[in-house]
Amino acid sequence: MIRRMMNILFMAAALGFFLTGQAWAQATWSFGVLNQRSALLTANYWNPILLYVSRKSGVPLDMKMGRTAPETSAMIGRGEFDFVYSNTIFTPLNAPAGYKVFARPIEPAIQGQIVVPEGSPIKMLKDLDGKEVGFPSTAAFVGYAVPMNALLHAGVKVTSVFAGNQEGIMGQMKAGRIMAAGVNSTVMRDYGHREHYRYRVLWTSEDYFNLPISAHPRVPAEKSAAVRDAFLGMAGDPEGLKVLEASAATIKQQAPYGFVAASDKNYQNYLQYFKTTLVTDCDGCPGKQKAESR
Amino acid sequence: MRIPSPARWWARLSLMVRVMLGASLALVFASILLLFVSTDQDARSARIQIDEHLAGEIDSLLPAIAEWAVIGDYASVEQMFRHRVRRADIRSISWMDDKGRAIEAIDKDVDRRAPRWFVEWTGVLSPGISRTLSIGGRSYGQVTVDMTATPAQNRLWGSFLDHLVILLLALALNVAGIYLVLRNGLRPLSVLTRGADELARGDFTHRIALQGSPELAGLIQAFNRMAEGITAGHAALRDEAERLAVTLSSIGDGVIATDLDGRVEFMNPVAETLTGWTAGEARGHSIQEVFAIINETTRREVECPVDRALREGVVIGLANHTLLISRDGVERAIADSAACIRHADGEPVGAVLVFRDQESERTVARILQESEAELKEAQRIAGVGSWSLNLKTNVLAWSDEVYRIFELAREDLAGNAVAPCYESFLAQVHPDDREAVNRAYTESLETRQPYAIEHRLLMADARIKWVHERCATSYDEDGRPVLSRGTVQDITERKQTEEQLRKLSLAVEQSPESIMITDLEARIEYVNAAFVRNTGYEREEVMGRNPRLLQSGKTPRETYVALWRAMSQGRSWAGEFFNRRKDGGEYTEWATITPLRQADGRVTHYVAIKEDITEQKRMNEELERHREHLEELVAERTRDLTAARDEAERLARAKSEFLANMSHELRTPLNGVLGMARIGVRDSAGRASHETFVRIQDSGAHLLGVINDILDFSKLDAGKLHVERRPFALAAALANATSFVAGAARQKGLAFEVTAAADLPEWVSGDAQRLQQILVNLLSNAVKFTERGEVRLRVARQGEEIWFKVIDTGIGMSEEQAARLFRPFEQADSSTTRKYGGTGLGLAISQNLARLMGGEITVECALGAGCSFTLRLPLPEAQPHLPAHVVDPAAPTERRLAGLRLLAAEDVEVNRLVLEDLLSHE
Repeated sequence: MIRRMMNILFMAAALGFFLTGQAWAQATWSFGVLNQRSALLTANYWNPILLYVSRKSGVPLDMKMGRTAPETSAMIGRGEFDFVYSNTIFTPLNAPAGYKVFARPIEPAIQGQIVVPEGSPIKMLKDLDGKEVGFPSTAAFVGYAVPMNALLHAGVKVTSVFAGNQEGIMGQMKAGRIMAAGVNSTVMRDYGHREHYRYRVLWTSEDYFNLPISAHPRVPAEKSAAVRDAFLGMAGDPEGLKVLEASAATIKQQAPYGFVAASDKNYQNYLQYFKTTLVTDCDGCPGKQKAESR
Repeated sequence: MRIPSPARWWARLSLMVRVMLGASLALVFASILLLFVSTDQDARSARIQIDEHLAGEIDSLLPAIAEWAVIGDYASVEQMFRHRVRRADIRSISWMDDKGRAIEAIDKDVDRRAPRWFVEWTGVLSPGISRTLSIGGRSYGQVTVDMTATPAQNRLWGSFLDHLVILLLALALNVAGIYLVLRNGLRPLSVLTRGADELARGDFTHRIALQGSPELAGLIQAFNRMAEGITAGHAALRDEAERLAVTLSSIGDGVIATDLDGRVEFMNPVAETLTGWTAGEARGHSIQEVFAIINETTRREVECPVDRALREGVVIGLANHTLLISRDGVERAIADSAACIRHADGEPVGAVLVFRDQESERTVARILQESEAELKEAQRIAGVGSWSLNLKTNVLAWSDEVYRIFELAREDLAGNAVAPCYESFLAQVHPDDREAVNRAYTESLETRQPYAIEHRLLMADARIKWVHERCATSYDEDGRPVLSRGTVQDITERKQTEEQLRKLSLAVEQSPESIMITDLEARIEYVNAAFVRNTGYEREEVMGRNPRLLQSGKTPRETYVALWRAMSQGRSWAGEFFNRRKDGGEYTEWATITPLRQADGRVTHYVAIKEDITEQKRMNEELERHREHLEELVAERTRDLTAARDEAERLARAKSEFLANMSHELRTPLNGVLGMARIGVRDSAGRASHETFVRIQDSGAHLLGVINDILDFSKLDAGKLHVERRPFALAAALANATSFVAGAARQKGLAFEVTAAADLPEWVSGDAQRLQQILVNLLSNAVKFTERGEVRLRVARQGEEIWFKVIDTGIGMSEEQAARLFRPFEQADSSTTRKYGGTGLGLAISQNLARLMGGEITVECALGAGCSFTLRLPLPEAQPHLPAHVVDPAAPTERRLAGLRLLAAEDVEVNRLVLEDLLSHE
C-alpha cells in the first residue's frame, strides 16, 4: 500500500514537473525568420518589431533563425517555430507542417529577377549559357527557384554559385566575382538604392507576394489573432510606425511600412510553382525532396 | 652626560664631515624621491594600459559574438572565449544569456612575486567590466570580462628592485669620492688665512706662493692680485686729493664748502674776490655771514641756498634777481647753486656753494632780447619768417613766423621744446615738390649761389600752402659751407588768386561759343579760340579792329540801332546777326552783348558771346517738312495692315475647314483598318498570322493616336476645343489612366507606384476624359524615358486644387531642354525624337488642356536624374453622380445582343463589314 502510494506520489510529481515545463516552454513564442540578410542585421530589423508586437498582443515573441537559410527552412519543416516569416512554408517538404498565413508586409508583390551589372555585355538569357550565375541559396524562392526555373525552361544551362543570403550574392556581383545573379526584385532594388549600385534586369517573373507571416497549427487561435492584430495595427499606431521606420532605416528599406492581412489564397502561385517546376535542387523542390528522402 | 644642542653639535664638526654628511643626506633624499616618482609613473602607465585593454576587449567582443547570440550558436561563442582568455592579461570571460544559460572561460592564474604592501601602494589591481548584449532593443544577456593585473604587478616589482640596487651603489661611490677630494684640498686654506692677517696689519708687500688644487691656486692668485690692487689704490687716492685742491683753486666760479653746521671750510680765490673774505678769515664762520645775499627787487634778505641744500639734501639754484653784498658793501648780481656733499655711503658731510658774477651777461642778454623782439615784429608784419641752419651741427633755427607758417608749435604737448632739423623741414614740404626743393638747396651749396624757390607745404589736415623761399649760405676759409640763412613767405593767397584767374581765362578761351571783348570805341581787344575757329580770322588780324569786318550786309539796320541803344544805356542786348566769314561763307549768330563794369561802376568794355546757329536753323526747317509728310505715310500703312489682317482671317478659316475635313477623311478609313485588325486578332488566335494582326492593330492604334494629337492641337490652336465640367469619381479616373501604363512599366522592369492622399474627395467636378488624357501622356512619357528604377504617381489635395505629381528616375533633361518642352513639335532634342519617337505634341496639348481647365503643368528636371511633372487642377468636390446603369466589366461575358434586331447605317463598306462582325459576336 505504502509502495503504491509512493508510486502515485512519484507519478503526480513527474506529471507536475512536465506541466510546469510545458508552461515554461510557452512563456515565450518563437518567431522564425528566413535568412535574407546577416543574422545581426536581421535581429536589428526584427527585434524592435517583435518587442512592439509582444507588448501590444500580450504574446511574448522571441526571434529565432538557423545559421543558413536551408537550416532555417529545415527548422520550419520540423515545425520548430510557433510563428514564421518565410515563403518556404509552401514547399512540398515543409507544407505538411501546416503553417497558416495571416499577414504579409504591405509592400507590393515581388518578382524573381535575373540581373547583370549595368555595363555587362550580356544582353539575353541565352548569353548566360555555360556561365556561372549567382543565387542566394537553394532556399531562396524568388531568388533561386523561380529564376532557375526560367533558365531551364529557356534551355539555358548555368553553373550555380550560392552566397548564403540575398545581399551576399548582390555583394559578389558588385565585386565582379559573378556575371549575373538571380535575385528578389525588392531586395535587389533596396540594395541598389542603398549601395548606389546600377544593374540591368534580363528577366522578370510573374508577381509573387513577399514572404508571409504564418502561425503553426499548435498556436491557440486567440494568440494567433492577437499577434495578427498587433502586426496589422502597427502602421496605424504612431508608436508602431516609429518602430517600423527605425527598423526600415537599419536596412534602408523604402516606404510603405507595415503589414496587411493575408491568407494562403494569396500564395496559390507558390503551390502551383512546386507542381510544375523543372528545378530539382531548390529547397522544397520535388527533385531535392526525393534525393533527400533517398 | 650633557647632550649638546644641534647647532653647537654642527658647529663642532669639521668642514669635511659637514660636506660628507650633507651630500649623503641629499643623495639619500633624492634617491628615495626618484624611486618613488619612477615607480609611481610605471604604476600609472600599467593601470591605464590595463583599463584600455579591458575597454578594447569588451568593445571588440560584443560585435564579434552578436551574430552567434542571435542564432544561439553557443559552441562558437565558447570557442571564441577560450581563444581570447589565452591572452596574458585576461583572467576570464563569461556570458549569461537572457535565458540564464552561462558560458565561461577562465585562464590559469600566474604566481604573484610582488609583496602585498607593494601591490597596495602601486594600486595596480585586477579590474572587470560587464555589458549588456543588446540587438535591436532586445537583450541577449550580460557579457563580463575580468582582467588579471598579476603580470603587471610582477613587472613593476622587478623594476623597483633594480632601481633600488643602482641607487644604493651610486650613494656609496659618491660619499667615498667626496672624502678623498676634501682631505687633500683643504690644506692651502690655512696658508691663505695667515696671508690675510699680514695684509690687515698693513704689510702690503706680503704675497703667497702658489700651491694646492687648481681652484685653490686660483684663489691664492686672486689674493695676490687683491693685495696689488690695494697698494695701487692707496697711492692713487693721495694723488687725486692733491689734484682736486689745485682744480678748485683754478676754477672761474666762486666755490665755498661748508660742514654740516654751515660753517665755511674752504674757499677758492674767485670766492675770496666776490665775497671780500680770505679763505683763512672765513674758515669757521657761518655761511650766512660770509655769503650775504638779498633780493634785487625787494631788497630783502634771501635764504642762503646752503641752508636748504643741507636741510633738504637736494641741489638748489638761486632765484633770479639775487644780489651778493661783499664784505666791503659792493653789490653784484650773481647766479649760484648749492648741493649737499655726501660720503660714499650716502651720508651727508657738508655743502658746496658755486656762484658767478652775472652783471656783464645780463647786459648782453638785454640787448639781444630787444633786437629779437624788433625782428619778430617786422617778420610778423611782413609775413616773412627767417631761419638758419648750422651745417656743422645740423641745428635748424626757425623764427616765430616760420612756426606760424608751418603751423607747428615750439613745444610739444608735454612742454618739451621741439627741435626742427633739415629733415623735419623736408617732411613738411609737399611730396611732389620735395625733390625740387632739396635739389635747389643742394645745387646752391655746390654753386655757392643764393636761390629762390616757390613750393607747396602739406599741412597736417591735408591743406596745401604755397611759400616763397630765399636762401644764401656762408662758407669758411676752406670753402666748406658753415651756415645757411633764409626766409620763408606765405604766398598761398596770391597763388589761389592766380589759379582762379587762370581757370577763368581757360573757361573763356575754351568756351565753345565765340567771345569777343572790345573797348568803348568797339575796338577788339580779345577774341577766344572759338571766335578764330568760327570766323576764320587769326587773332592778330582782328586785334584793334571794329567787329563790323564780319558784317555781310544782311543783318537789318534796326538790329544795330537796338544794340547801340542798349549799350549806350548800359543794358545787355541779345539778337541775331547774319555775318560773313573770312572765306566769304555766310553764317547766322545769336549774340549776347553786355557792358563790362568796373568796381566803381564805370563801363570800360563790351563783352559779346556769340553762338553759331546756322545748322540749328537748317534742321528746324527740315523737321517741319518731314512732319507734313509723316501723316500721309501713316494713312497708307493702316490700309496695308487692314488688308493683311483680312487675308490672315480668311486663311485661318480655310485651315479649320481643311482640318475638319481631314479628321473625317483620316479617321473613317483608319477605323475600318482597326476594326478589321481586331477581327483578325480575335479570329487568328493560335495561328501564325495572329502576330501580324496584332502588329496591324498596334500600328493602327499608334497612327490614330498621332492623328488625334494633331487634331487636338489644331482645335486648341483654333480655340475650338472645349472642356466640360461634370461630377466624376476621381479614383476611377486614376485607375483608368494608370491601367494604360502599368503594364508597359512592368514590361520594362520598372517599379510603378500610385500614392493617393487619404483626404482626396471621392467625387470631383471637371472633365474626366481630358484629365485621363493628360495623366496618360505624362505617365507614358515617364515610362518611355525611364530605363531603370521607378515611375511614381502621387495625388494630393492642396486647398481647392488637386496636384498630380509624376516622378520618374529616367534620363531627365537640362534646364534649357525643359524650357522648350511645352512648345509644340519639340522634344528635349532631336536625338530624343529619333530614339523614342513621338510627335512632340503631347506635352503641348497637355499644357493647353490643363490651362483650359484653369490649371497648369510644371516640370523640375535634372540631366540624368529623372523628372518630376506636376499637374495642378482646380477640381472642386462634387456630389456623387451615379449612372443609371452600371456595367460590371468583371461580370462573366455573355452574348449581350443575342435575339435583338438592329438597324445600322454606315456609308463606308469596310465599316459596315466590321460593324456586322462585331455585333454578331455580342
